[in-house]
Amino acid sequence: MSASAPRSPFRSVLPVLSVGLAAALALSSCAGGFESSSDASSSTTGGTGGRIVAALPTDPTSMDPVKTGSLVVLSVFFNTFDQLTKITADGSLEPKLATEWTPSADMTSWDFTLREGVTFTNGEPLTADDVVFSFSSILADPTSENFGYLSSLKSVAKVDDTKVRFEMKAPFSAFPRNTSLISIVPDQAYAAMGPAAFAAAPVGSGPFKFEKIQRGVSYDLVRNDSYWGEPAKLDAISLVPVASDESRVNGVLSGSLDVAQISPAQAESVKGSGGVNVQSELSNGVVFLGVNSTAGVLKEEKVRRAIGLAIDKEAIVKTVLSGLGEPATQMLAPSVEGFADGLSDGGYNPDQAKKLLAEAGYNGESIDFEYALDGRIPLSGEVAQAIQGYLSAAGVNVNLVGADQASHTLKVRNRQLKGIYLNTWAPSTLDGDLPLTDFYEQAGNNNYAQDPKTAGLAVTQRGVDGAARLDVFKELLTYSNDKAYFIPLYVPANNFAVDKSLAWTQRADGLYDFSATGLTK
Amino acid sequence: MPRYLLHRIAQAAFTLFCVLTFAFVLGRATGKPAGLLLPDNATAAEVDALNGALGFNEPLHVQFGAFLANVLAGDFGQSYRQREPALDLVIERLPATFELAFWSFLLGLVLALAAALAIQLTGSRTLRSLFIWGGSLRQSVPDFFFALLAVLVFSVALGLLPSLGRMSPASLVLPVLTIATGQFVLYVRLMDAALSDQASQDYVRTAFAKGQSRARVLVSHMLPNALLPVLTMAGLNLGSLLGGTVVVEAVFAWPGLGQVLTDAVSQRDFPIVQAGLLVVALIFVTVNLAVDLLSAKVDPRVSLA
Repeated sequence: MSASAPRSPFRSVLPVLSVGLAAALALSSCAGGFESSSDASSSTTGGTGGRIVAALPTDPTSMDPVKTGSLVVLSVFFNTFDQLTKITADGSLEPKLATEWTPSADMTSWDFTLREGVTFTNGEPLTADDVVFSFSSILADPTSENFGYLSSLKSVAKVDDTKVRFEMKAPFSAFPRNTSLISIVPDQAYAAMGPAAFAAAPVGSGPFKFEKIQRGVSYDLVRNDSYWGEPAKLDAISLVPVASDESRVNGVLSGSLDVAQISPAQAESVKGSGGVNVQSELSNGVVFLGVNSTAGVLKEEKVRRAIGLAIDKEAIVKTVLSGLGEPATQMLAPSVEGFADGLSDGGYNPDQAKKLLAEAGYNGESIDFEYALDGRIPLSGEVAQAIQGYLSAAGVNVNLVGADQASHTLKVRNRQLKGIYLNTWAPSTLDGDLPLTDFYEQAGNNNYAQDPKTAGLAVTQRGVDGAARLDVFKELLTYSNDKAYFIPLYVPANNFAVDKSLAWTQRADGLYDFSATGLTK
Repeated sequence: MPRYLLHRIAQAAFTLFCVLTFAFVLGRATGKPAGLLLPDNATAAEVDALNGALGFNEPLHVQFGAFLANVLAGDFGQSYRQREPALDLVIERLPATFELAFWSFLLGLVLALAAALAIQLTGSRTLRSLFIWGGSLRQSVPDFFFALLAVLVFSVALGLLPSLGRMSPASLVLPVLTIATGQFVLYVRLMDAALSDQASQDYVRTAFAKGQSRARVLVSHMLPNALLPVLTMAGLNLGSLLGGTVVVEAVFAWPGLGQVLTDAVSQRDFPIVQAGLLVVALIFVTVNLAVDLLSAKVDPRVSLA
């Protein structure tokens, strides 16, 4: 019987199939295969031990601190590198690699004194040369994501082994805050390895060091036991990119993740489940309506003011954001340096809005309202619709135009928006300089008004310090509200699902700093 | 045969050219990307300088000419963000996607084969309705939704399997199950129909007349002949299988081609998008050619002329 089908077609296919199978198996095992991270030893000094897994919202582009400085990568660098200064969870500026810093009388140069006895994890001591190298490498590369943070910096030079001098292009009082975003790399190792090799095996001086980098999968860090400061409590951290909101929530609920940022819409359902806490802290950002005050009916100040008065911000926060935020009164969040206490934006007053519209002779001309459907502002679609509802109730005719985040950002960048638009600004320096420059200085992306008075005040605040600077901010923010160049909407909270055993203090900017984080059981 | 092959290769080259042109034109239509690559407070001059450095200030036909010349030389350019060769970044993700697609394909096929054989062996109409009804029900649920349900049940509620990542073989289970069960009904229908077709053929009656068992006739006589339509369909289906992994990869944070491509699209990283689309198109074209060649081998009646 076996001889009855000597040339079964099935048999001639079998070898082909098996070759395909073998090839696929070989492919999936050669470059990608599974490797479980080696468990860090828990017997080392200092820590209370444990490994945690934290979600990143996107995959960081690179581990090279010279060229990358996006928010997501700072969540890695704050743990693995040192910066000259540090902004604490409550927003105050503290020493890190630098022990003190002093400006020249006119604030055009800053001297930083460096901490002694700091070494990189490769044993190289951290000196003024490394600081100069890190800053000047960024200055030499205009395509670096960090270049914009240093737009005020002219040059950097070593004074002696523990002192570095930064020369500004113009007076700049908030420069120390900007240095909190710039990670210091070892000059010799970086120069010897080159950017690509350094990004594959980065060497820092932070509380954790890199154990293993699997792009798109996991960035594994272990405690740096020779850290100069307070040693970290955790043995190890895995930072895992998880792009989808749903997956991050499910990851924490199922125990695959220990901490992850979630959307305000998910907070209620997470609260109801055991084992996981929701941590919500007011963020450092303001969600606002940008106004092209040079076009059409929006040239009229009364129309702009009417738009602000017609929107019930409190109701938007309560209903759309489930109460996770607070109405904004100005273009800075309360945690940001420069926030002016006691400022009012007129609140919600639809009658006044209608009156202003009538006075301005507004006749139902359509105003474009552009927003990004996804991306930086959670629930942006719902927020935009709510605003449209309030505006039509007041008699303002808006035309909703949604786009993806990248297209929207490009329109903002090219100042192509025609009417009003939804946008947000959250400075990781926790200082008003970056956003207010963008709102009010001549070259600012969001500056449609091009009012010389706001541009002048934005420059003035850089040359003064302390209470005098806060006064300038207050004058600027009040004037902006009066002219309704922008309509501040709300300050959203950053919301995290956190495993109950994790004791983690959340920063206002929602970035990760696990240097003082521990497990409670 | 050689003429046929040449013809097919020319066709494939044309397809790939169209894909490249399409990717290029669509990418350029969305504007210059430098504004997305620099920090918020970069000046207009800095943005313009970077656009210039990336070649975006040239006329469109010059950009396209340079792009094609580079692609022919095997150079897709550097990723705007990572500043590493785009093709390398894409190829780096292939193993993860292949792994997912391969196991899903295999599991879907094996499940369907078992179901089809069970239907034929028992001759039960109830069993057939059950498999096809159940499979259709599963297919009518979008993969995205089914994946979330699977996570809620097996990861969140039962705590049996990881909900995301690619850290251990266990993390393969849910994504593979999602894709495989989605493909299942297609293969069951095809195999069942093909087997039923064969059942009325003379050679089958002859085999039974020789006294062979039902199982033996089914496996060694009918199955090989019934495989052809399934094979063709499976090949054609590979495209949707690769496409389907994109959605499933997003739910499970699986570090495959889909993840790198969606990231690149949303960040306007055109070199990666172009390299990625070409790789996907290349896989699709190759598999289809392979299926055609394989069909000729399996069934001598299929002519390749």
